[in-house]
Amino acid sequence: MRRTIAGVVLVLCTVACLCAASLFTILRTVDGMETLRMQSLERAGEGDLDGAEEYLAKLAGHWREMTPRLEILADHNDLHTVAEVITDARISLERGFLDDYYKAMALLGEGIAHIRAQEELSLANLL
Amino acid sequence: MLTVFLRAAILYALMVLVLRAMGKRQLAGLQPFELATTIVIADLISTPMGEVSTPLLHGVLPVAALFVMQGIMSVLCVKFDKVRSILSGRPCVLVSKGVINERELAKLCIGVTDLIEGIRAAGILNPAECGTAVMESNGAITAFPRSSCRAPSNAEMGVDAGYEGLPMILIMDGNVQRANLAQTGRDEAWLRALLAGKNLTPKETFFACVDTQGMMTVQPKNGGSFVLRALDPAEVRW
Repeated sequence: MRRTIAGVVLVLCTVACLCAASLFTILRTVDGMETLRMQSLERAGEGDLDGAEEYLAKLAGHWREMTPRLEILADHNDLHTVAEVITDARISLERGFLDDYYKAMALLGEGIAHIRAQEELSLANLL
Repeated sequence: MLTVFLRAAILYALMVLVLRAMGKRQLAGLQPFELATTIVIADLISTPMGEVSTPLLHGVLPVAALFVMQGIMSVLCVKFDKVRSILSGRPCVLVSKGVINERELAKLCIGVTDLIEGIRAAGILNPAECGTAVMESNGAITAFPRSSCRAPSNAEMGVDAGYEGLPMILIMDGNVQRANLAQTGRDEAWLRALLAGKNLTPKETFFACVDTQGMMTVQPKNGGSFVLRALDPAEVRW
């Protein structure tokens, strides 16, 4: 009986640590991504395409850096979708196709929001 | 991650309730919360096993949730009888004083055929000889014959059969079972000397065990078997 209770408490503590670490890592990453995405969009809106490209490069670098950790915590397909849209946005911006760039950035926002929504504890997710 | 854990916990609780509501017939000798774990765990593990795109943690956390839920339910069942009766149910008497309880059978959705099968499984060939039959909370049927139809016990006949405990296996396939030998209070030299009396060594012995009457059954590797007195019954301490 004591062993069972100890096992349950130990597993609960491990799960709590894992969940907290996962929540912290994912929210910090997606918040950082969202900030960089907004800054890139702002620069593009002001007509500063070099600035927009610079922020997009930073965003891509941040994503590349965080991907190995996110692979442990989030679905691979969601991460792959985000990586694809980042590449789309960069190519579109480099070639000056602003419509495609804005579309890719909107999809990126959706992708990031999806990863965040999946991690957050909400009634909608539970049910 | 927390969502995955909580969803698994909620679904597990739901599964236990459904299994409980389905009745004892479905339980296959397990408690409802044990059966739920048995059914679900293989599927939970196989999903991340086969799909590389799913993080391993998405398989590990639901399994952890099952472990926690089952642990909590086990402890609650031991501590609180009320919880036990809700989660596992109570044993139901199907045959009392040799009379089949029809209402109980109907309540449990059990046919007379199932009852007779259960009675036969308990070693009673003629259902008319069954005095009491009980469906346990895990769905197993236990049956006992009428006192007039069973063999008299040693106590009823006033016979002292002596102590009868677990026989100790001392040699298996030529290997001496040292832990069992230590429990008999003897050493390997004693065993070797005993076997040497029959021109055998432990390596040449396929199987040897000593019972609580002190009799040792030996089966050599070259075939046959024999019984010899190994210990005085008074020396038996296990």
